[in-house]
Amino acid sequence: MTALLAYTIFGLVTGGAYAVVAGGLVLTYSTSKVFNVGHGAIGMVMAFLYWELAENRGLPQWLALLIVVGGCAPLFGLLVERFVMRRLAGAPVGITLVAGVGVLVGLIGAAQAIWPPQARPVRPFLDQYGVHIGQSFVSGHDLVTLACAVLVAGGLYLLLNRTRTGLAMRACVDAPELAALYGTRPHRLSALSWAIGSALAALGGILLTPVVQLDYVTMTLLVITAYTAALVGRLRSLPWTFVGALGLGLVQSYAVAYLPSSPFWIAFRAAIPALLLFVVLLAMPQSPLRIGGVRGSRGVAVPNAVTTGVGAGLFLGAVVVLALLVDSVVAGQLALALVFGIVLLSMVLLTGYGGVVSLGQFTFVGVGAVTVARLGSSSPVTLLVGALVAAAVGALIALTVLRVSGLYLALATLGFAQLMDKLVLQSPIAFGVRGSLQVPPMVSSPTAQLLLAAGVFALVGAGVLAIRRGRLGRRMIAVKDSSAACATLGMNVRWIRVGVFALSAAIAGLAGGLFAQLRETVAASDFQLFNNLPLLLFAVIAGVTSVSGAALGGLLLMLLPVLQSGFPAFAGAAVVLLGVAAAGLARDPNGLVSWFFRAWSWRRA
Amino acid sequence: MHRRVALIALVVCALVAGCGSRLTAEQRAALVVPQGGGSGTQEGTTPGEDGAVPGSDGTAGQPGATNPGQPNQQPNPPGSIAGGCQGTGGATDKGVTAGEITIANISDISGPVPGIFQSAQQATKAFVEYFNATQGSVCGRKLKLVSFDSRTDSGGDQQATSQACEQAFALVGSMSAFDQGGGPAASACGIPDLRASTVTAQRQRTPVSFGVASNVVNLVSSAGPDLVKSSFPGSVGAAAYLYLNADASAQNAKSMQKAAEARGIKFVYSQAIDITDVNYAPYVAKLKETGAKIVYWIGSAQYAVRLQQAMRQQGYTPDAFITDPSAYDPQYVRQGGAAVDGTVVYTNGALFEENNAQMALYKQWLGRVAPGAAPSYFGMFAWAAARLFVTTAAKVGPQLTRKAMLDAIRGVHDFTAEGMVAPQDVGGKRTSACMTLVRLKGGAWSRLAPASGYSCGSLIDTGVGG
Repeated sequence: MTALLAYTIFGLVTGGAYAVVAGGLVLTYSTSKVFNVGHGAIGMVMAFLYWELAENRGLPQWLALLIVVGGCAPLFGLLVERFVMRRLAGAPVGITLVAGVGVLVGLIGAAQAIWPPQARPVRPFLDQYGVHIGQSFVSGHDLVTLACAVLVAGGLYLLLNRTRTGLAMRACVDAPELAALYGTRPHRLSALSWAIGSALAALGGILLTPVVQLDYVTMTLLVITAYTAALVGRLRSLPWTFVGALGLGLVQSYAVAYLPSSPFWIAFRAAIPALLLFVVLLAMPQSPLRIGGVRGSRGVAVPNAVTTGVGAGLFLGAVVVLALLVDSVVAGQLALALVFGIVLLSMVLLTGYGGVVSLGQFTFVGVGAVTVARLGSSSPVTLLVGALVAAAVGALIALTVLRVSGLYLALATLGFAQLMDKLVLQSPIAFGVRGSLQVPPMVSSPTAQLLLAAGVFALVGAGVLAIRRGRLGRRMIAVKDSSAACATLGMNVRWIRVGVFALSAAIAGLAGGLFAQLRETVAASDFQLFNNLPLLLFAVIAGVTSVSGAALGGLLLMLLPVLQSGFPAFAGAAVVLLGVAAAGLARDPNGLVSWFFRAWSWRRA
Repeated sequence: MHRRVALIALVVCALVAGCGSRLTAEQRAALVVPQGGGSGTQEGTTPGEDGAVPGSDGTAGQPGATNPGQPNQQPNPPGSIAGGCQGTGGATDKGVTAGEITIANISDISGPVPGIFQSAQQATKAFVEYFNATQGSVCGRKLKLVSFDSRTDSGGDQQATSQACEQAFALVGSMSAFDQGGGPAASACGIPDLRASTVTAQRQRTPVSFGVASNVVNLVSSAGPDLVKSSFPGSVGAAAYLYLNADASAQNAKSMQKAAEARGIKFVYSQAIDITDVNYAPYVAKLKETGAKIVYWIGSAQYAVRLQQAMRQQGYTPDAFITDPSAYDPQYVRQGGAAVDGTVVYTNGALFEENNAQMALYKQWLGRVAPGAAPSYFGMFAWAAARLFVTTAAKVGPQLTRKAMLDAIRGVHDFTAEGMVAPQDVGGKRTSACMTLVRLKGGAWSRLAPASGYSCGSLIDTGVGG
């Protein structure tokens, strides 16, 4: 009984930390309709700033806390709202998510540049105090965390439900124009919510730092666990978010205490937040079809069959010339860029044409890779088998998650990616416990690899354009613009979406097979959850609605780590620039390549 | 005044003579040879960003000092580790000219934890500087280092290895977390790969790759558990194994636990901690509940700090907290503070705090190429790898080829780098049977057992991850 009490207390403390972080997420989402993926990164940078003031500059803890949570963080929130998020009002989910990913990537780069890796211990709050409960000890810091969680939940509830400002904030989300007619100032209220959200991210980061240590990535990704709690409250209800956060903390604590320590249960424990996320999403009512408007956006022009053929021929010709000119190392890098380009082609189909945002596309790449690796043959047939397996997994997932839409769907794919990472890719049926498999290459030289990747890219690209021009493509665009209208016309919206999801997964799986035989060794670590974020970022920056955007995105995706490594002094600045670019470009769904197309059209005119 | 100067001179001469009597032949050679025999790094100058630029030259000879096309005609100084080999083999293989051998180091510099294995690259660079400046040449050839960043990514390791295959004769002192990536490329081009350590089983199986820290997962020395038993005799009936749920850590933990059980240590609790776990207090509660008196930990030092802070907060102090040598680092002590005091580390290398001639050279030259950098476990093995490369290349002689080098490395079985590391079966790819326990006390590391040198045992095949 004493042990149960101890685990309950520890679970509540963990849940309290989640509650503070999730509270900030819910506040910004419920008042601005923007799900801030960069929330954890804001907390991470503010925790570094707190360390700078309290530990490095010697300011008293309370003063440093006040400066960071009461000053710097809200100011940062105001800046983000003013220069990034305000421009995204009413934008599709994919765009708002990419802006958040841009903030995340930019902040990680900034933190690495400002605070290079070194030991940075941070003292807990009220370390000399604490309470013995049974055999366990609840430290002063734990009590502060719990108290903050309660205060944050209560304070936000009162703000949103019992104050005029809070009511006005909520009104602005539902109908900003109408609220403005009643004298509220939507921009000011949105700025206020971002300032508070940012302060809560900072508070969460600072409270967690003595427990998890200062670290660029761990703190940033910790917020993914908080997504589950936020979804329990359906991103709107603060009391339910609080309950969800505490519940998650308790389940994790009890799992440590009472689940066996066999490999399966270890993986299961790690997958608990993702499993809960899935359960919550499945328990949600099916998303209603949106009525009252058509949400179409102008994409880039789709070339006809002849132009596509000529373009593919020119592309292949250019690659052949390149292959003759460059050395084997550059040829290998370009082959990798084209493989990434094929992954991005899968997103052109799914996100660009289908309007579905997936945060788990790299997982399908992993499914294709592991299939090819397990088959252990250098026959091209293995690529097709990899694509088919990925398509089957994609269809299965689509049937499960497509009952929700928009942001919930994107988060469901993220949960799926996490589940696959923990329960499948790291298990003995996939990469095995040592985590990597050898794959026989289909062609031996990097030059041949480049030509193979170019051939597959050209084929898949032409196929994607053919789909876009055909009946399925028109249906996809129609479903994206107004699924309600399509349903009214007797179209089976669900099966179209499942088909698109499966087709997109097949393309990603095909790319996975190519990736595996190019690398010759693949590991579960190549398909980690985090890899999905830069994938979406580059897809949107380069242009998620065109084949040329996919090629450019693949090139950028390959180049980023190379440049980071080659120019370490500028690495942080480059990543910050990338974040800023993402935030700026996110407004244009056709990305960088659309500038080229516009310039070309202007020249011809 | 003149008398005082003379007295000081006399005392200095006496001290130098006294110290000199304890110098190794190698150190005496370093004193005999005039500085600048190929080294570009001058004391007091700050080198550029070493190791970060793919394919960058980490070391260059002083302008005009060495001509890659011409062999170095000067005889090696007495006691040089390259011996008396003075051939004129010419360009015998890729990366070899009459006057130069190009070696490459591929280590994780950028990535989620920037600079994670920079110490391995710095140590290799330090050795190359030291060798070129003080030890003459390998059969008329100076060393040239090309540094690559494997970016904490198997793809980065693959790309860098492909590049190194074209540019360098051998890979020396490399250290990458995802080193499976470069295995096929290294194997295909047949480049000798003398690593600081091999991390993944795939790289261990690569025929051309050899870890100077020659650990393999399934072979565990009985010396470790036996030293623990003798140091904590009253506690071995209740031990616990906690490890980070990551590839290498999980396998090593399982293998080491099995070996410890075979030597009579009883485990009452064994658990993996996932990287995403926030609060370690439930694990500590479980340790208290099971009555564990010894806690083993395998994982990164950062997570070891988290666990020990949770242990301290819960008032749980085991008789021993035993972990791997990655904790034997000043950053660990600074990050963990009082919470990590008492940590016991097992290591198969010399102690940084003890007098070892080779260690002193490593620290001295590390200070030259990377002022302010602290010596590390992986740096020590990278230095040892570079040293082994030179002595083996000298043995091969003027007709230096990759194949001859590989054949020679396969014959290296008890390599110690002049006592810098415990005997390593580099060619046989078998774990070292010898070990030392080091303990952190009052913020300083000191030897726990044995009283001097290493304790050697037999190898236990656990069958885990082999």
